[in-house]
Amino acid sequence: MECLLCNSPVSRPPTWTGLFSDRGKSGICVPCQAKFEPDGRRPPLEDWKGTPYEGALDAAISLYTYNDAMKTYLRQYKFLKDAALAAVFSDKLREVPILKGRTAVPVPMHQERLAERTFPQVEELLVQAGIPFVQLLEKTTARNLGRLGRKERMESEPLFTLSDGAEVYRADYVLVDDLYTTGTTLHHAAHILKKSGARSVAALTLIRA
Amino acid sequence: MQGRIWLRELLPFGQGAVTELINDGLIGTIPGVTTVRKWHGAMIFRCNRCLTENPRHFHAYNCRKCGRICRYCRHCLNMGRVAECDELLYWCGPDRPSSGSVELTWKGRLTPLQERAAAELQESLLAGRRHLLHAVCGAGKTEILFRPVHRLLSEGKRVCIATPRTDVVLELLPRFTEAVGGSVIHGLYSGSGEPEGFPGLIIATTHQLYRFREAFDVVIVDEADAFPYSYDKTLRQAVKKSLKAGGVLAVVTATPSSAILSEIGKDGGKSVIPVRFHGYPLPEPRSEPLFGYRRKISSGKLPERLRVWTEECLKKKAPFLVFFPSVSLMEKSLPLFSHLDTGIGAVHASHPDRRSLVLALREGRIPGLLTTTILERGITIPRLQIAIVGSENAIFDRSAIIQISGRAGRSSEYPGGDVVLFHHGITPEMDSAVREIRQLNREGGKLVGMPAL
Repeated sequence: MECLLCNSPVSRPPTWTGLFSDRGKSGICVPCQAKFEPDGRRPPLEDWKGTPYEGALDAAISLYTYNDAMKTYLRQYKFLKDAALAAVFSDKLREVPILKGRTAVPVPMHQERLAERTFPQVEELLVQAGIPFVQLLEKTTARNLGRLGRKERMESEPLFTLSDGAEVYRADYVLVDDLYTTGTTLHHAAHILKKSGARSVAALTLIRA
Repeated sequence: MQGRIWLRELLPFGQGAVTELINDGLIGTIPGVTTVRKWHGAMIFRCNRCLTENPRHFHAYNCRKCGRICRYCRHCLNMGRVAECDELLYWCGPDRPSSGSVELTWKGRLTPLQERAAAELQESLLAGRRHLLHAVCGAGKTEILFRPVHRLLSEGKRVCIATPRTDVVLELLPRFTEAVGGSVIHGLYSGSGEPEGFPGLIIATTHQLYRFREAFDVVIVDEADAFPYSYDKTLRQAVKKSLKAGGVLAVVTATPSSAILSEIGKDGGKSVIPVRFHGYPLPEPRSEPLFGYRRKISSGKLPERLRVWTEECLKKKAPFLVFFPSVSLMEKSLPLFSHLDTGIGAVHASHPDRRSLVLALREGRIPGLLTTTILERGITIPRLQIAIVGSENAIFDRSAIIQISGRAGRSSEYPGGDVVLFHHGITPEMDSAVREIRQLNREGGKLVGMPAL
């Protein structure tokens, strides 16, 4: 097998699990894995105190920092549309404790963006990791938050609506996204879920920028 | 756009105009990835840009553009993704003639041997025959190319000089711009961008030829034995794909491999230059045993013979290069060399300032450099002394050893130079490299005695 990122051969000791399932085959080599830096900090939810979105998120966690290796990864995954890279963090995602006992809800893309990208990048991460999820939300604007400043982002119009026929139960949900920058996307999404009757909403992001 | 192959999304014109041209029959389309049935019945995929058929290069996913399971090629991903539902476009309208009169502004002189090779090369190319130019390191290969290239350009032919290394493109581009006036010359390599104008001559890395289709009358592959051209089948196919029907391939190298020889074929032309431009023989490498050097270096000691050799270079104040088989071994030995002289540096492929370190060595600001095989070709430093540590490693094959030895004694003031193969056991590759150098020197010796030189 070859590393998905640097194409060098990867050898792993044979195991019984490896013979019968794909678990533990993350697809990248050890040196590449070591370049990603785990993030220990909690995303700053207190930034949202005093806004209508205060308390929308009950907990949040990010797995990695946005270092150079991660920027290269995200560029190849999202802009070169290398869908194979969705499998890189599968092992890590499966083990995250925040997913235990909660229903995963990937943050959706706008239909126009999706047609350009050809695959939904967040959903694909969950699919590759084999994590069950429900799609409850729909993005209302095709505008990209990436070009906006911090203040503009935090004051932006609602970004999501509930998708047609979606049923939100009195249950615990966890939103999944790729990047946590100011938290606007996640707070908007959590707000909708809370309003529709969710008991608690947590957030899991791959990267904390 | 003529001769190029583009992804529809990346084409720099409006989509409406493109559709119109397709309907007019001026632009042809092919799907990005096609399924091919092999003679044994198996279905395989082929990327129509880089022509890879290796199943590991394809990834299947649920595509939201075409709504099916779609495959894309990961082999040429960096040039923009090519998937099954993407279209590749190429120009199939009338050919545009190259513009302007071309002038040979190069005023240098060729040695009689170079002269003969240039004439032979030109004759083959004009007759549509494949040609191999086998010239030793330091024979002045670039100068030989000037006149044939000029002749082809002035006949309105499109010419490409392809090489596996970006460094070589960067070195050739200014020399050709200076030597051949009145023609548009483009240099293409990863990160070069898209230059303006319609070029008669393109100097490109072989990877860039993935983007071409039936574009050139003549492709000259320089340094054809260099990695990765010699290993990657798709690069050789890319060269063939970029040739027009009836186009000619020429290969320039110092160490022709059997693959290159078979590519040229029996009826292709061949010129050999066994002497350097200054007429002195090539330095012959000598072997020195350095048994157990890995363990020595790992335990923090510089092997005795290597230390003595380095100290001698330092005493003579001669610049030196020490080649290592791997980056990790090189980095382990760097502190050991620093004990002898703190100025000694180390370069490898991903080193940020490798250019400035090589320049520092040339100007004598540092006494020597440790390196991997990236410096095996393309550098000229007078009085250079060379050591290869671990020459029994597979990475130092016949052509690598010949190339590395070719770095020594390149100037006519100092035609000699010490080349030492420090080994943990002699390999057939080392033997055949030394044998070939001796053979060339013998042939060269006969020629030097001839009145022609």
